Amino acid sequence: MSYLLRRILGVIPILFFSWTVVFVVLQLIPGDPVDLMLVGRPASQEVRDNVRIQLGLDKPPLVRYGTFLLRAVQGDLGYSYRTRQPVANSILQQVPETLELAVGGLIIGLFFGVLLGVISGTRPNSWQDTGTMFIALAGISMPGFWVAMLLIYVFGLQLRWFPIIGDGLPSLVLPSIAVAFWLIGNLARLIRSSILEVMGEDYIQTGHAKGLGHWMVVFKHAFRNAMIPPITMLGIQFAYLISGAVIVEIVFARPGIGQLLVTSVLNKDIPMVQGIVVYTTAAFIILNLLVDILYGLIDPRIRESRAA
Amino acid sequence: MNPGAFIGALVLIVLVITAIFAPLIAPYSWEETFVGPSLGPPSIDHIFGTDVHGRDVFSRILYGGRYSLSVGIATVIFSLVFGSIFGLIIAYSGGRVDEIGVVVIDVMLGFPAIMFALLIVAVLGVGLTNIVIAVGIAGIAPFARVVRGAALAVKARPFVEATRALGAGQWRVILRHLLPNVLAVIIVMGTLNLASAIISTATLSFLGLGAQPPTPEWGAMLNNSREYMRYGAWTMIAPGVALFLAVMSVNLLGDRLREVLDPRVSDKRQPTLIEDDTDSP
Repeated sequence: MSYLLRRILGVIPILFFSWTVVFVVLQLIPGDPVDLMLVGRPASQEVRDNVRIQLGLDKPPLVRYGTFLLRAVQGDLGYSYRTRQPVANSILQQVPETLELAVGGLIIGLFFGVLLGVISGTRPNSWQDTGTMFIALAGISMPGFWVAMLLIYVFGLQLRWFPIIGDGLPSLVLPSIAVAFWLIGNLARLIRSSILEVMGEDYIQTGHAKGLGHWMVVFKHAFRNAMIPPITMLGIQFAYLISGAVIVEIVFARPGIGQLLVTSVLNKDIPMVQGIVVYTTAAFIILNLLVDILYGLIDPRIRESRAA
Repeated sequence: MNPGAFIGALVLIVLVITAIFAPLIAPYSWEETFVGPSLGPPSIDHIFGTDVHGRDVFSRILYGGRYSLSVGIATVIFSLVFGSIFGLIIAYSGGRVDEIGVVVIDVMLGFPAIMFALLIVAVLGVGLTNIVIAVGIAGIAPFARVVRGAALAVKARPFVEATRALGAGQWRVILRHLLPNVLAVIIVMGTLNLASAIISTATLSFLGLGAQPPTPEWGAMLNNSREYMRYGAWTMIAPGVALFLAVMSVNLLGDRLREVLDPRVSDKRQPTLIEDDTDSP
């Protein structure tokens, strides 16, 4: 239990530090935030001063920093310069869209990644191995946005198998595949090497020696142990999936965090950019924490060694 | 020689040479419009077709390599230099400095790279130089972590202590003894990161945050071809294939490099000298 507690408490300084970084970085933006807020409209000094007070910019940086942290902890991230809407609301509206895509990618990616990894890992140096490893190499070498464009062109515009816009499951298929593409490649490579490593262990030999069938050994002994390293990577990979989803949704012109973020960056909508980064970072850190805890639960050896 | 590495090296050499000698090879200027029809399909005159402005896609791809490849390399050098300095210093200093340094690295690793890069672009504004800095900064942490680890191992060896006992200063030990011994690791990391750096910078250009039109950077070309894919798919095939080949060749070389330098490696095993967190979406 102390391991769990320590791990959870360990997140606090990291969150604090990362939010500080976000705050500092965004203070460095050249130009007066008041100009950004007024979007180039001419305004009297009085109006400008009012906006400044409204944004809390009349206060010294340290006070602003304190307010920012206090509010961030409470989930209040200020108002967008553009839409004047609360940043938190705008982000929360978009989260399900991006999450849906990332989860779609995760499901497809896990299925095919594990499948290809097992195929090549259990038949090293065969033609199946070469074939699947070439697919995996393509998976990690093709830029996500290009995969998305190709899918739109081939399956959306030419073959018309799937809709490329609209709501519902069918329109989720192509973007999910685009997001999954990288994961398939990455996971297949990881699982292949992990299986190869495990197949050299003594307990596999024991399994063979006591007369177990080949596939029995592979699935009951090799596969279970071989999945441990890929599981530890799953937190990082899900974060990559979210990054991937952010790009893919832009190509598919789907609403979501990515669309919001890029628009905000181009518009210099600082509170929005700040809010998105704060939220994603927190989500990312908590996700890694969960994976870590899960990993500790699966493999007692880890729990012990880390508690020590 | 390993066939994968051979293909990778060959493809990479061809891409680099065609980029360097683009002015000699390119049949047309990269910026001249209407050297052919608007959105003309591939033909003998224009082997990769022409784009919406009637520019020769093949010539633009050749020149584009200069941007896409050099931006990728510049990004890696940026991360490599700052990451290595950081990793070497905290490893050498040890104690409190090292502890704080590790927390800083953890925090930086905590940001999804593309988010971090976008945050920095929001501060610096759009442009090729700015995305080199943005992706470069986002890539510092993995270098720092690996270099720190390698430097700690070297630092523990008797000859380093002997050098310090003889009165060598901090920088002398770091530059003359630690650095040469971790150089191999730095080079491998650099190669492994080049693939993701090329993808990341091209992605930012694709989003309109990096190279601006009419620059023939591959990501920017793909952005430009989005609207016209229905009428001229070739305008998105050629730059995409060029990007794919560049990234794939670097990945192939990286795989081989890891195999060679990983002492635990056997022929058939995917090596694990360096934690594989360099592949990016």
